[in-house]
Parts: sequence; structure tokens; C-alpha cells
Amino acid sequence: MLDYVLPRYRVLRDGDLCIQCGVCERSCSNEVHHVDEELGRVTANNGACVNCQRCVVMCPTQALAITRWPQVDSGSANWTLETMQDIAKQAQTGAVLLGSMGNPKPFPVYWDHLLLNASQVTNPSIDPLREPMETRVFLGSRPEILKVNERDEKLSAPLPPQLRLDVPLMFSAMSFGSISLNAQKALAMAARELGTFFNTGEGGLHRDLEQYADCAIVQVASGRFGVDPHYLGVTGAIEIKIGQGAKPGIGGHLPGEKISAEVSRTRMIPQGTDAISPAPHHDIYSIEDLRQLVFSLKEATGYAKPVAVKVAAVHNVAAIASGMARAGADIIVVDGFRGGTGAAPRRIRDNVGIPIELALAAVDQRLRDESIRSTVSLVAAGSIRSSADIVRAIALGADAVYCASAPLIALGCHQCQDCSSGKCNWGIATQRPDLVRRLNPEIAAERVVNLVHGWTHEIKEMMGGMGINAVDSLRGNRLMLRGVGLNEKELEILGVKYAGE
Amino acid sequence: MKRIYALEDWCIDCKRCEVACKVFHSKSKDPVKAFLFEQPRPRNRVRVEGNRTLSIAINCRHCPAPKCVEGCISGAMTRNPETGVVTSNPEKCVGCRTCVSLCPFGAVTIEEGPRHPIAFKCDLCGEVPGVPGSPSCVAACPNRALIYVESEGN
Amino acid sequence: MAASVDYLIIGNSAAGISAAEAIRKTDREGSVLIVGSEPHSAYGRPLISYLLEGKTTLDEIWLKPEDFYEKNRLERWLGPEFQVTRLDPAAHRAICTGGEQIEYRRCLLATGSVPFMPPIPGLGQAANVYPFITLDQALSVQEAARAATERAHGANRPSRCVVIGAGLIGLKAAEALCGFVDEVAVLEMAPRILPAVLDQEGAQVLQRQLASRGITCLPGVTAANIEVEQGSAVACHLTDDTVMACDFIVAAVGVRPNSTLAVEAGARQGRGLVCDEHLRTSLADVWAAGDLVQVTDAIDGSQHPLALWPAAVAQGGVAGAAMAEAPEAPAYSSAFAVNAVDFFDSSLLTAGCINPPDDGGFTVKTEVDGDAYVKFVFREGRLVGYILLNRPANAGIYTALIENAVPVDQLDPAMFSAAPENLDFPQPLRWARLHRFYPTDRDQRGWKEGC
Repeated sequence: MLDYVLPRYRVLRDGDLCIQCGVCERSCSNEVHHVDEELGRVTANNGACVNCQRCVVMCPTQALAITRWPQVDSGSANWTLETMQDIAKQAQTGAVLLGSMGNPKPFPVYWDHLLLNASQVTNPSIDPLREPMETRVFLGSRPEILKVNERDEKLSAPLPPQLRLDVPLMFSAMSFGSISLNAQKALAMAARELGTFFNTGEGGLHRDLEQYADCAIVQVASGRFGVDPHYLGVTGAIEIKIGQGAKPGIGGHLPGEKISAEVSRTRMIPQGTDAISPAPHHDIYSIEDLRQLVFSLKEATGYAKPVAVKVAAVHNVAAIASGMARAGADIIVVDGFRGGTGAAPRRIRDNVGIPIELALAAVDQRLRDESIRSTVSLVAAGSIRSSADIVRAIALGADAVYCASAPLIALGCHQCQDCSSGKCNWGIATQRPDLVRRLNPEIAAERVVNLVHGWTHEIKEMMGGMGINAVDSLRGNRLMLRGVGLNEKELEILGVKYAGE
Repeated sequence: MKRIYALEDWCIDCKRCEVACKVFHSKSKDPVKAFLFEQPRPRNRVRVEGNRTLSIAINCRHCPAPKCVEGCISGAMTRNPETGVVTSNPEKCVGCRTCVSLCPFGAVTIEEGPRHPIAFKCDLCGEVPGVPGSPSCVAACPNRALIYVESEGN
Repeated sequence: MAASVDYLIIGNSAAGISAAEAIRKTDREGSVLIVGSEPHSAYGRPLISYLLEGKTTLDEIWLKPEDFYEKNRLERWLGPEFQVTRLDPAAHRAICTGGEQIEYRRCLLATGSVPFMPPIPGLGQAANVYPFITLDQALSVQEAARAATERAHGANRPSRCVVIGAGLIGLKAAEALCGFVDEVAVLEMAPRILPAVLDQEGAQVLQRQLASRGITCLPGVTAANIEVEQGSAVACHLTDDTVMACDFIVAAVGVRPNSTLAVEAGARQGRGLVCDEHLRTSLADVWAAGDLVQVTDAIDGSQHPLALWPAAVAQGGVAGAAMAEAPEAPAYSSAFAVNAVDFFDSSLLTAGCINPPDDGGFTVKTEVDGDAYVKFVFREGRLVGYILLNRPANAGIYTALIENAVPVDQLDPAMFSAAPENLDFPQPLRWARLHRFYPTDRDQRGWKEGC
């Protein structure tokens, strides 16, 4: 059958610069490039290109660039080329369209409508190069009353368990299976270096990473993969995953061919079988059910580590968060609709869920209104792109943020959104040994550490400018934010004033 | 001395090391001129063995008692006793391949030279023969599969 | 002239120079005298054919930099008058042609080989018969060839040269002379060319390649007698009853160890001088290195000289270290031949045992591919010899297999059907080979801290 699908990209090769060294050919798992000895030139199979840009980066002479396929659309603003291509694809395959990484659609990015404050005259700004600046935060539930034995200068009742983060950022859940062991190892190494946490996702904790277990947050998700007392016992915290911002309301499906011996051992499932995470937890149909699981996990671990619950940002997220707090969660994680995924049905990724900015503001406000905000920590996730996004998230009410896409980009990810093919040329979203090898965790960890160091400097600069010297003092401080280009309703939900007010 | 070590855990068969080596050892030091215009073609002295599944870059090990030097009939192949760097003098080499028959690693090749075929091998990118420079293969490796580190022997 | 030195080195080529360097590594002070009968600084002896071909020049042929002797404080007496004619080990004295006496504490014989002149009637009477061993001989042959060609062309006929002996020296001479005379014929008594380093099949392949360059090889044929006119050879009467006119002759039927000096002084001689593991001869305070020493063959255990440049350098190093009483002076154990030679565009690399006897438990693998011919000889699961005609890539890996007696079953069998690679070794061995002196504070991933 004639394939109606057009190439999405086209390889631009500067013939004057191409030295036919073949680095591009050897770099491409999609087999786009080919050095044709007979022709004496390098050819390209444009249709196979996913725009991962590995070849562009690897080319020793910078002879390569990727451009969009030049085909114009029909001229209809309704029947865009992309829309029609999706139909062509489904007409060919009869299948659900798959996508990866976060929602790419042009929905408003509220971060970009929130501006930060700075001190002028009436209160002094702080120079972080001269003055101490605290970026450390603790995550966990706080007791309603702090009882202190003043004579001994000690707490008379122990504090609930806390996670200590030297920077207000953790690496969000990515399972071994969805990403390579080398990618996970890089994040683990970076987390240790930075004094923060990485999250195993629901793929279990690989034995090679056990030495980083104290920097790990392990997930208990609907598939319960890799969960046993040892798994729960060795880590810093446990996270119950109810939902994921990229695909709220649905489960996961890791096809059998990706369940290698190592993945199988780590997930504790037979090699070659499909790993299916059901859409719901089959034992959770209510807040009360959630409370049971939360306390089961606390019992299993002797109340020694915080238990987090992660939900996707959906319409009634504020009410759900309130229930989560009451169910005993120590940390509430809200994952916005721009959060990434290794694979999701595209219609779900692109159309389900709400922006993290609004969800975060709503949850924080709801918990405050109910006077339970201080009993839980709140973590925002779902496309934190820069240090400024972190500052805004904290000002909107987050204790800390989860980042995944940004560290992956530090590792080399170019957001080609082709993770589900398993052919990631950067060695991140793949289990193919030849591709996994491309990611040397030593280099990768250094890059992530560099990124977070850079961000931390910037956070200190921005806080200093506001006259604030600790992340704790910024949390929920929405006076430090002003909106631009927002309507009244948006300002109301975000709880910020308009610029100039 | 500092030696280049190849790590097959990280070698990804991209051969950027070979490209960088050729360019460094070209007249122009420009990849486009080196690959497309210079005659004789510059030669790479590092060679990637294997394929995508398993590969490793091979270059001279700069042995303390190099067999290539011992066997060289022309005095072209020498080891600098101070630096330990083994180099071949293109003016003196006659291309007899004694070094090829003796190098246990296949790190010397005989290829077309300015006048006749001569030996090519890693010189650690020294500007002056026998004095190590900053190896371009190591710099070009995207995955730290080549490291240039102080070794525990001379 | 008379001298009294700590170290006397007789012979100014590979072994002698290598020994001098080794002595200097340990003994910076002791006096070293090198004597040699050729009036030149040490040069790459095998380069003489390359010199005639124009692949090297009289400026580049020297083995060491100009200041080598001065820098290492090596006194040298070079020239025919310094040929040592008598050695008196009891008195620690050597006497030169010119009457000079040298008293030494320790002496090294590094006198190499001398060409063997075959007892062919007429050969001794002709002035235009040349050996092809030394630089001066090579230059004389070149001059003779030029003159002969000029004369012949004056007489409107092609110039002709006959080389007696198709060993390495004879064929390299033939190759070099190709550029100076019109017709070069090489006679070889044995049934194939390069009898010592090639087998029948390989010899035929190479002979065809030489023929395409105008060199006629006649294996199984040699000169029965030489027709001499007015003191010059004008024709060779061959053993197959043909007559071959010639303008001059290069005699290269072989060499023998130049050990007369030692033998006359009472040294034990087998097929070469008998030495201990530090290459000390049976004479007091006399060592030997190079072509004149008999060594143990690593493959068949036989005793014979190994007249090869790399062996001479290695032996010089061993002897020199022993003479200077270097701590942990290396021993010279067994050795095997490794030959590298090229003819025009052809390259020939051989090592070890290449013509195994039928009954020695050897297995042989051969392959012909166009101009390439390869042969591997195995015994007891190990490689013991190879011929690589026009497939030289990475040959040293094979040499290392022979030297280290690596069991072949550990290796990727593909390494014997194409150029061998380091990846053909199993991983632990591969790591060990390629990572000598690897810093111990790093793991195999190159990381400083284990993960």
C-alpha cells in the first residue's frame, strides 16, 4: 500500500563542508545517513529522520542541519498538514498515535506570564556573593504543634521523617526501562553530588544503583513493579504514583521486547512479558483506600521515611490534594500536563490535564484555606524549564520542584519525542546496548550537576534581588509575582496581582 | 608518562577520533581541506576496531621497550628517553614494514607518504617530535572512551 | 696508536651501537671505544638497496643523530686500518690491521656476517663481481651499473646484470639495480626464490610480481662457471647449459658469521658463537651480539645464528647491559625470525616456522587472494609461523601470538582470515594487553570512584 505519510524533516547537508567521514552514518540509529562510496557523496533517507540532532552535534565540520519538510499545507487553518498527517498515519495503521515527552501544543505557558519582584530603596536587596543564601529545604509533614523541652533544648516529641534537599529541586520519576540504566545512573550520581534525590519511577531499583539508594525515591505504582521490603527499606522516601501529568487517567504499557534480562530482574517480572501498569490502583477507589496504602508503606518501613503521593494535575486537583493530605501523605506531588513521558497516546498527552501553574496555585490555596498546608510538603512537576520557573513555582506555593526534561536535555535529549521507538540516539530512552553505551554516566552526571549549579546561582541571585535570603521565605510568597497578559480569572486562580498593581 | 587509554565500555564507533587525528596531522589543520584537497591524504594514526556492538580505538601504547624501535632498520623510529614518546621520522623511514611486523597492537601502518610509503603512528600530537602535545583524538571523543592520563610506568 | 678502555666494542652497526647505548644506561663514566672496519658512522645496513632506489639519501641513512657518539662519549676508530685481526682474551688485548693495540676490560664482538663467495670457477678472477653488504659495496655496484649501462647503450644493446642468489640480499640488490640496468637476472640454486623465508607457493606469487617489474628469477639454476675476459666477467654458463651474457655480477649466495676472530682466540663455535644467556662467549670478558651469535630457536629448539637487524639490536642491548653489570640485566632466551621486506609494491612479512616438516604435528592454513598470499603454521594449538605476502596489516599481532605462545582457541578464528585485531582477543586478555601501566585509582570505565 502506498504510504501517504510524508517525511517530517529534511537533512540539510552543506556539500562544501561534508568530508564524507561517515560519522553521521555511524551516529544514526534510524539509518538516515548513508555514505555512498559509488556516488562519492552522503545521501539521506529523510523519512526516517526524527530530528534528534545527534548527527548535527557529532558532525566534525558542522555540515548538517535539520529542517522541516518543505511541503506546504492545504492552506486551511483547520486542516493543517499535521492534522492531516495524523489521519494518514491512522488510516494506514488503525492504531493509537503514540507520542513521547511533554505536551507540545501551544497552550499558554503561565510561567511566562509571571514576573518577579526586586527590591528598590525601601528594602535592601542581598548580594549572594557576600551574604549567606539558604537553598536547603526539608520535605515531609510538619507536626501541628512543636513541643520543646526547654531545659534540655530538645524536641520532646520526634519530628516526622524529613527529606533534606540542598537545592529545591529533585529529579522526577523515570523508570529503568523507559530510560537506560546509564541515564538513571547519571541522575543518581548527580543527586548524590547535589544533595538531592532521584526517583526510580515504577521500574524498580537496579542493583547497580543500590549504592545510591539513600538518594533515591522509589515509586509504588499501579503495577507494583519491583516492590519488596528491601526496595522500600533502602531508599530515602517512597512515592505512591497515582497519576502522571503526561497521561492522566491511564496506565502504562512497556512492551515485552523491552523487558530485557536486566529490566526483568529489576521489575521482578518475567523476561519478555508485557509490563502493564493498570490505569487505577486496583486497591484504591477512595481517599480511605489511599490512606490504607500510605500507612501500609509507613508500617512496612517503621515510619522512618516520608511517603509521597503523586497525582496528575486534573480539574479537581485541589480537592484531591486535600484528601491526600488527610490520607497521611507527607509530600504531595502535582504533575502538570506538560510533564514528559517515555510513551503515551498522543491524544491523551496533548489534551488531558491542566497546567501546573494553575494546579499548584489552586492546591496551595486550598490547603491553606483548610489550614492543613503546613502538614504536608508540596512538590510541583511538569515542565520546569529554568531557575526562574523554580522561583515562580516556590512563590506560588511549592516546597520544591521535580525536574526531568531539563536534566534529560542536559544529558543530550533534543526533545525529538521519539522515545517510544527505543532507538534514542543519545543513549537515554533506549535499552539497545550500542545506544546505551553512548551515555557515559560520568560525563552525563557532570553536565546535570553543572546545570543545577548554574540554576542554584541564579536562584540565589533572584532571591537576593527580592531581598530574600532563604527558599523557605519565598515559599507561597505570591507578592513576589505579578501577572502580565492574564485575565482576571487567571489572576484570581494564581493568586497574583497584575503588573503595576 | 601520560598515556592514552581506550575504554571499550564507552567507545561508540563514531570514529571522530580518526577524523580529528587526520585533521591534526594535515598540513592545513582544516578538516575540509585535509579530507578533500590535500595530497597525499593525511593519515589517521588512531584506528577504531570493531563495529557498533563492540569497538575500541587503538593507538600506539608508547611501550617502554618498543619493538618497533628495536627493529627499525633506518633509525627512523625512536623513543625519546626523557618523555617516553615513540615517533617515526618521515624523512628517514623507508617503509620496510619491520615495525608493522613487530608492533603487538597493529598501531603502526605504512601508507603513502610525500615521496614513498612510510610508517604512520601516534605521536601524541606533539608539535615537536618526541614531545607530547594535547592529543586531538582524546579531545574529539564525545564519550570519554579515550582518556589521556598519567600512567604508572615509563 | 694505542688505547686502554673499559669497554671495547668491535663492530659499528646494529649490535655494537645498541650495546654502547645499553652500557651508557648503566655506566655513564667508563670509557667506550667502538672500532669498525667501515669508514662511516653507523648506518642502516639494510638501507643500501633503498639508497640505490632513492628511498633514502646519504644524508638520512645514518642510524643515529650526528652528535650521537659525542653525546654518549663513545670514542670511535673507524676505517679498514681498524679492522681487529687478533684478539688476546688472556691479555685483554685486541690488535688492529694497522698495528694499533687496544687494551680492554671487557670486549664485545659485534662483527656481524661476511658474505660467502661460492666456489664457482672464474668468479674469483673477475673484477666486476660485487658483494652487496656494505654501503661502499652498494655505491660501487651502483657506479658499475651506471657505467655498464652507458657502455651497453653506446653499443646499442641492453645492459645486463646477473645476481647470484635469490635470498633477501640478492633480491633487494636486484630490485635496486632495476633502476640502473636494463635486464636483471637472478639465479637461485634452490628450487624457489627466497628459500629461507618463503614456501613454494608464495615464492611463485612473488616471482610473478618481480617478473612484471623486469626481474627474471631463475630458481633451480645457478652459474656453473663464469666466462672472464680481460679480468671481467662477460657471461655466466648456467647449470642448465644456457649462457647468459652479463656486464657485471652481484654475488649474494649467503653470509656466514664473522666469528673468525673469536674462534682463533679459542672461543666455542657451533653454527655461530656459543654464548650464555647474557651473551657472554666462552672467552673471559668477551661478549658477542648480532649475526655471529648462535641462538636457540624458539620454535624448534635448534641452535643457529639469527642474522636479522632487530635480533642484533636486542642482543646488543642484552650484552651491553651485562657488560656494564646493570642491575636486573635482561637475559636473552630463545628467539625466532621475523622478516619484513618489500619489493616494489609488494610487501612480504614472515615469521617463525614457515616450512614445517610433514611429521612435526603442524597444521597449515593458506589462502591466496589476488596478489596476496598468506600462510599460517600452527602447532599444539598455537601459531608458530606465518607468511604474509601483500597482506601486512597488523602483522605484529600475529608476531605477538607466536612470541607469547597464545592458545589459538581463545581467539576469534576470524583473525586468520583477515587482518588481525585487538578485539580478536578475549576481553580480560584484551584489557591486559592494551592497558599496561593503567592508573590503579581508576576502574575499567575510566572512573576514579567506583560505581
